[in-house]
Amino acid sequence: MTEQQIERFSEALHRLSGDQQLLIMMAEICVADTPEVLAALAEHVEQGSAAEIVSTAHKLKGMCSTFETGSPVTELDELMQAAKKGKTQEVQAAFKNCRPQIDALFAEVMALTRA
Amino acid sequence: MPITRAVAEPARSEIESRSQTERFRSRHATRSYNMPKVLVIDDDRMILALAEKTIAPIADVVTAETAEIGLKLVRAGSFDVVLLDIQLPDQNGLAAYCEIREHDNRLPVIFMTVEAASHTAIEAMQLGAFDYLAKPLSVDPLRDLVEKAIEQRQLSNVPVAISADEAIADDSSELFIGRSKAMLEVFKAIGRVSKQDMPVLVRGESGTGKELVARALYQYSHRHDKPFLAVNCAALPDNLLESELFGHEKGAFTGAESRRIGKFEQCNGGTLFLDEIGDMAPSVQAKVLRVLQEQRFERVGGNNELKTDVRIIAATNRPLEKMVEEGDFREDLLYRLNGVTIELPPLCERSGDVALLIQHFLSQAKRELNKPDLEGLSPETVSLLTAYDWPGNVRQLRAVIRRSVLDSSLPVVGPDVLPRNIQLKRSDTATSIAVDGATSGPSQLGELVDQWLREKSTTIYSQAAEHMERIVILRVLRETGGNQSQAAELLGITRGKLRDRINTYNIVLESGVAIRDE
Repeated sequence: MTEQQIERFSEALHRLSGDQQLLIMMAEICVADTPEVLAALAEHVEQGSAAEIVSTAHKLKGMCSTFETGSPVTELDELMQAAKKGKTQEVQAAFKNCRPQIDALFAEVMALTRA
Repeated sequence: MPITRAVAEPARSEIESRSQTERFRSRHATRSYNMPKVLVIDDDRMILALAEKTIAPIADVVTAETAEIGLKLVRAGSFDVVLLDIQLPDQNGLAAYCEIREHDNRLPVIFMTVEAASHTAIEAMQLGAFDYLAKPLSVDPLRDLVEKAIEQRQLSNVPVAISADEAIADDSSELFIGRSKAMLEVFKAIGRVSKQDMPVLVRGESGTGKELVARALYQYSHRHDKPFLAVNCAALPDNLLESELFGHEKGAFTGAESRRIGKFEQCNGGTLFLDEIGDMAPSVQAKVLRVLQEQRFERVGGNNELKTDVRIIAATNRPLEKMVEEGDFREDLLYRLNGVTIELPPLCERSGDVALLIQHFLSQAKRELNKPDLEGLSPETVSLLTAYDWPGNVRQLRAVIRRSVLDSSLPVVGPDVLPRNIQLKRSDTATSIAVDGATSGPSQLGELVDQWLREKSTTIYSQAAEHMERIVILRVLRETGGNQSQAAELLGITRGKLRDRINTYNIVLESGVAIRDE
């Protein structure tokens, strides 16, 4: 891992007792699994199926939080709350809002796999 | 950057291959001792990987991505701990938990949740989960908690030292639990004086059960079908206490808007229990003395002399004789009261009764706190409870047992749920049991058992188990030159458990080589 990556993921590394190999292994899993979960979330948001949105967003939130507990985890939480209230438009807006943050985090995580 | 499947796919297969290999290794690794087994159920493969790597040094790890697979594994295998995600793709984690409990109610289950403050997490704890961890997981707390759960599991497999038999939890008063000489004297005294109308002074430390004695005297008296009233003399200001006992007339003092009937009047024909009589003001003492001598009194602010027929039972934990010398208590009242005195011993002076009392309170707590799965207390828990000196006496013991039952998530109550001040007795207990245990070895055990028999100990099993454990741990640590990892492996226990025992038995490792037991 580069110095910047160590700095960027310092909180995650702290949780893992500084085990960089474990963080990289988890990044590899994240890179493998996230596209499917994200695609499912996009589909559920499109269809407006609240229960599925909550369930899939919950899973994605858990995956993202391994690397970052701020954004996009907070935005995914807002998305889940909107879905629980059945506010379809808010859900779509929240998803649109958090998608760039998810993509950005994913790119950083993917870079970890090349470390 | 857009997230695409094409980029991700090769990595997934690589990880799966690695994960499977590790799982194979963990399942088939040849170990020199029986490793505990931990099942992790979560649909997040990152969590599975993290758990596998973190827990592998202390346990064999098996993983499942769905509740269905996890439950099948639980039914087929013998696991020591389950880590369970609250939200699984095919079933709610709580429902899965209930099925696990149905299969094995001793199996500690640790929930994992990204919503740590959610109602679900609270509900999980209410259902009896061992604990829960907030995601993202941190490796050190995860390992520590799993170690703790493994220890609990091992503990719950130990035969209980005192069982929570509901049949024992009858409605009899805890006063009559005990076979010590001092308590037998109390029972005899109650029998001797209960039918008499004379006043009785009950003395003893706070929490020894003075009111229970008063109630027993009342229940076995001729007055048992008449009122029994209790007044705590320390709980009321002097003027209110006088009014409470003797009543008052309308306008007797500011706020006395109507006539009030006092306890001496209400209790006519019955028994009045004056608790903490040593805290009674001298002016009130004088009026109580008159009732004792003449059975007559006046309401506060009244002129009419009233007659009453009340038996007085008083109680105190204060040194009345010394208070008489210092002018704080009337000598004539003391002599009137202490014609018959019942002395309740502090619990530390009837240590032989502690086990019986524990049994009684445990059975009571099982029923009252609705804990049908409760089996009893582990030997170590009993050992700590019996070694403690109980400054708060029986009342404190009762409170500790109830709290421990409430806090325990497993059928066997382990020492970890005991209050810290009682847990601190761990090292003292071990040291006093086996002063020369490190060098004496098992040959001395017979003599120790003889000694415990002479002392009429009722915890010989747990005392002997602790004695042996200490010897074994010291010998193995010497063998490994103080290396705890090697020692844990040879002993077949977790490093956490070994650390715990080292602390418990006050074993000091000096420079990793010399071992000094204090």
